[in-house]
Amino acid sequence: MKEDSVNQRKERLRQDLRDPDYREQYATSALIGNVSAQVQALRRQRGLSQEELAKRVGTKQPRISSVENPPDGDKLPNWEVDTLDRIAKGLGTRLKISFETFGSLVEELDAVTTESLRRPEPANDPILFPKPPMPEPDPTAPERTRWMQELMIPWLWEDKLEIDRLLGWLQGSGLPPVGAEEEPYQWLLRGVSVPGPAQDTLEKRLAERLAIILGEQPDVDAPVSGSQHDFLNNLYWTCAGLRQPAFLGEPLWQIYRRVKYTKPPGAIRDALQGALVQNQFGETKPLKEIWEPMIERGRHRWLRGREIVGYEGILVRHLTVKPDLDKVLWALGRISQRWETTGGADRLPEFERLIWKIPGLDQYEVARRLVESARDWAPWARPMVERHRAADGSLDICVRFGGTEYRGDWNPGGLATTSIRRSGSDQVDEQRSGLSGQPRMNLLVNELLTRAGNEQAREARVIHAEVLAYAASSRGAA
Amino acid sequence: MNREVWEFLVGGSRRVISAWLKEENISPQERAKLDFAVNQLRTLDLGLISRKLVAGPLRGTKLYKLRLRCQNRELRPLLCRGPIGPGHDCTLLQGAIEVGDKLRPKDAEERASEHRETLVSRPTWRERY
Repeated sequence: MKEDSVNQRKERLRQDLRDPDYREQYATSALIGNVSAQVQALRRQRGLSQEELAKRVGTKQPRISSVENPPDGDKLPNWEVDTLDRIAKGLGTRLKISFETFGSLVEELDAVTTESLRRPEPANDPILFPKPPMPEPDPTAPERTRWMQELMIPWLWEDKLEIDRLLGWLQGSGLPPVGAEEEPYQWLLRGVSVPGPAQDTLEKRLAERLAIILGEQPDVDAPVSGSQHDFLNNLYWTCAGLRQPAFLGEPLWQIYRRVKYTKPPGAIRDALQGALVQNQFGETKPLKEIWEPMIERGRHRWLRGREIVGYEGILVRHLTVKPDLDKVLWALGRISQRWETTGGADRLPEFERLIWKIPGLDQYEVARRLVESARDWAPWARPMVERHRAADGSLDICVRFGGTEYRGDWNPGGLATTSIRRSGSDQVDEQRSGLSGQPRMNLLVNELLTRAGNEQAREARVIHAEVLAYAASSRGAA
Repeated sequence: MNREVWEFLVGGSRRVISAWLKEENISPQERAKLDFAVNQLRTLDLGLISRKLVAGPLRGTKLYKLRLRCQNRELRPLLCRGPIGPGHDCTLLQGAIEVGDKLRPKDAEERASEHRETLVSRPTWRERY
């Protein structure tokens, strides 16, 4: 039946192509349509954003966009061979231009498919290099996880799209025999969780296939026969578990834009939210429309996340889209102010957990900027420096942060001491220094700096930066 | 992810797009554009088809439109996903031409929606495009 319909279509096209007007336009449309589709297919296969491809090619993102979405008209778009050649190389392929008969369009009728437009990258070109061995399932994984890996690894390694298999797994068919509490997305994520660098390759290939499903607008019409809600939940949570924004960011954003005026169940919105946090599209779109409102107002008009989700979104943006520590620190400041009326100091442990998520906090520069930005935080959240000079000249300086307290004491005639009381502990780790004589604040501050500088704990970095900032401001005041 | 592209049969027998091609005196060039676009729908996933070519779903409906600029007019055949059988199949429901932001016939969207509803209750009223 299907073969009959293909033959009928071919026959009809053969007839139509005899008309010169028809065939010239059809050939032009085929040229434009196939080039734009293949650039998109290869970019998606490589996991490149339009910006990244533009960078490789030495052009701007709108140029790539105009190739992928050419202006519709009767004439060919203004594509230069040089540009197409550079795009081909940027995608790890070569540009081939050939002159063909119009009749060859009949043979191409069903030949240009999503699958046929894909090409391996040079390193995986089977003619140039031997195919790398297929990764083994994780021998230390539980038996059912290995079972899933034995299904998924050959499927992904072979690198045929076979989307129907994934659609089946997302609906729970063909998975290890499990109870109702095990969701299909958990098995899919376990299936690609193998030791070594192969995991990254498998995750990327899974992400490419998920991107194809997302591009089919499953929120409008799920390509499945079972429950659409269960399917979407598993689809979005699988995306949330991958963090592959180059593959998933754009199609997820398109879904968000489409569904934000509708009312799907909260669980689906939560799953989509999780996927959007991990797979962000562009530097500003989710930031302005989702993360900032969650932090500024403590809610979002459509998604159910609050400040913490907004902060996670900004943090992942900092890690995957655009390094932007200032925005992360801004978010912390706004959260400290919002929480002042809803618990304040009682929420300090929760607030500290947010702080410890900042990447690179063990580096002095990051800690310094944190301390600097903390000047705008609500008082309960700030790292604090307290100093006290008694009438007898004795000095006491105390810095608290993250539940940890650093203290320097120096009594006249005695030796200066520094002590640390760590978060959650009553024990004090005291060290006596070589400083003696009349107590002097700058020397005691230096002593505390040395002590914090020698500590490995992450709190020590922040306290070191705080004390240093304090010392600098004291010197400035003096 | 090959999909079938179907065409609604008005009254169960008259091909809606073929009739429209005749009524509007669609030129060979215009038909070539339409045929290639339909073939792309058939063989590519939606993510690879230019968003300038397929728009939708149109607000408040389950309809999509093909956007084909041909010489001096804008063809806007309306279609939907399914609506029966595999969700990724498509059915062309109504031919339309856009003139100054308005479709001709004026009620093209309503007609397309009606055809879609009809097809749900009468699944045999379609043939492969």
